[in-house]
Amino acid sequence: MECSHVNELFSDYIDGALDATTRRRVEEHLAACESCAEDLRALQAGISALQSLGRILAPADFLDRVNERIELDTRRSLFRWLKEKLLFPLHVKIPLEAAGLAAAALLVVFIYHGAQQGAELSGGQGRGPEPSYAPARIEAPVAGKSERKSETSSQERPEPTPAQLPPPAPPAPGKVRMNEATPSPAPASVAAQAAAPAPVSKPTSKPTSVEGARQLQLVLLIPQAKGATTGLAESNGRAEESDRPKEARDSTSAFKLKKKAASEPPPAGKVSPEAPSVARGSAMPYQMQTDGTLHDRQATKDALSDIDEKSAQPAPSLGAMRHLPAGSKPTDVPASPETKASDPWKVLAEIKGFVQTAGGTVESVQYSDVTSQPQDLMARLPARSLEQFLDHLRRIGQLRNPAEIRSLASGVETLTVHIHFELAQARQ
Amino acid sequence: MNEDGKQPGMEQQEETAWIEAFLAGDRSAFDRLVLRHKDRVFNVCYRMVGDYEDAGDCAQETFVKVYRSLKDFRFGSSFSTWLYAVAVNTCKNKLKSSEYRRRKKMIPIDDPPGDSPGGMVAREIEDPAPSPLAQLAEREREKILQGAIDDLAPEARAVVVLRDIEGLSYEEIVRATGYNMGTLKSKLARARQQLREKLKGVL
Repeated sequence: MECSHVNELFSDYIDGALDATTRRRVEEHLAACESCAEDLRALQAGISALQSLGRILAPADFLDRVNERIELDTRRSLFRWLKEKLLFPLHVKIPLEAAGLAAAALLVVFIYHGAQQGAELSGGQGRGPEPSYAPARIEAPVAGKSERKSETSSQERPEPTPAQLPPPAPPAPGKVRMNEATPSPAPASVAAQAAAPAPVSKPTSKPTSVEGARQLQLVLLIPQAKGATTGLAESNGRAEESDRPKEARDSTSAFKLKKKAASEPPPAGKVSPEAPSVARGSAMPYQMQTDGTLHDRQATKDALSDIDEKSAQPAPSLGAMRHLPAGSKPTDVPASPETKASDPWKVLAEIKGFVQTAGGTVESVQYSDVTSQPQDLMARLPARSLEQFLDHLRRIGQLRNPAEIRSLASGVETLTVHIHFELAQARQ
Repeated sequence: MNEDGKQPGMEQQEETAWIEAFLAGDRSAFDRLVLRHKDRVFNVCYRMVGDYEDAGDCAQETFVKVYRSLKDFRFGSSFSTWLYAVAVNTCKNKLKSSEYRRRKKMIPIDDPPGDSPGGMVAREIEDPAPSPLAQLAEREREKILQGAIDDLAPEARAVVVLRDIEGLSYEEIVRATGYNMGTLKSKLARARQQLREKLKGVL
């Protein structure tokens, strides 16, 4: 047996783990080999030294420390459990790269929106403080309706409910308000209706906005010639006084008339502002009329002060604004048999013609549901033509505008002009 | 393994009863288990890691692990063997941790273990030598032996500590370490040879 092989067996030999045969052969080798015997003695001395090592005792407070550690571990385990359950409920781990990419995308979108808002604010610095609300765009109640179609019969178009109408909104500070003196609807005479021509225009007092252009709001007072049948309300009112059914003249039977008129459409093909105006006005549900009346009681009281009791009209109702598609030509407007120099139809045609000549575009025309007459016009106009445009309007009627209107044209190329037509009250 | 002077069979029956009581909700039964085995576990940990503070940390962690996993204990094996297995594995993890290796590179200059007369290790040694000179010689011998153990690999340390210091049988070491008998004998023989080389001419 080799010495190296015997050395490998020393550990088992000391522990008594060798079988009898191997143990005898090892002992025979040790008896003959002093070197291996010395190695065995050294190994046994080392093992004996290890076995003689004293036992290191645990500290006296070992049990307390163990218990403290168990308590701490229990709390940590509870916290770890809560953290896993509450904060990391996902079993599918999201890669860090994907999370970072999503965060970067959110950041880019946030910065982009912030830059857009900043650009809009910087573009409107000349108009003073912006309103706190977002100006709502007035949407057409029925999409795809043409101007002509909307004027032929009020029975064909559905009347919007008050909920469909744009809600009344606070005026924009720093902007030229239109319809500031617009009275609220009330049972009124022809004259009173002329003074308060458009109760339905109340929602339009909220300025509409066109993106990318500064908006200028104007109120054009269309004069009425003395003794002449001019303008929207007067012509309509007189016609209504003469043409409408007799019971309609009785103010006490106004609701009754409306119910009847709603069920009896006007004769087809009769393109006249008179009868349709009554029918349109009377086609409104009672509730809407009541709502319209309740909108502005003080204005109603003012309007009633000028009322001729004998010619009390059915209360104009709160109706929908009809919109014309952009670019409508004046030829689309049906000719009124009573169109005069100060007729809103003619005024509308003149303004449209001027806008087109000046290189602008007519965005939309809105008509009163009560009178069916043009009530508001929205057009885009080159800013350089503003002065000429204002002069043109002054030749047509009285322009109610503050002195700072001209300053709005500075610094922009295009203006959005919103003109509200009002009939000046005829005075004898 | 019978520090209380009881027969191993009786001791094991008693521990089994304590474990069952603990699993039934008796918290004091676990304390009795700790009190019975704390010195044995602490000594194994000290010999494994070679540092008093680290030994305390490992011994505490060993009992915390036992507390958490005692419900998984299989009564077919000895509780003390299972305790050794937990303690050795805890010490192995400690030895492999980066913090421990970093600290081992730093040499304490104020109170190196085993050097100062009032050292912690010296105070805690069981059955001290009768005279200061004998204590000093014993401490020096202790230091040499512990140094030789510390030079072994963790696996070799474990088998040497369990066999030559704690006196476990081969079968118990196999159960505690998971080695098969041949591997255990091979590792033990190699570790002893390494110790002999280191202790040659010293002892």
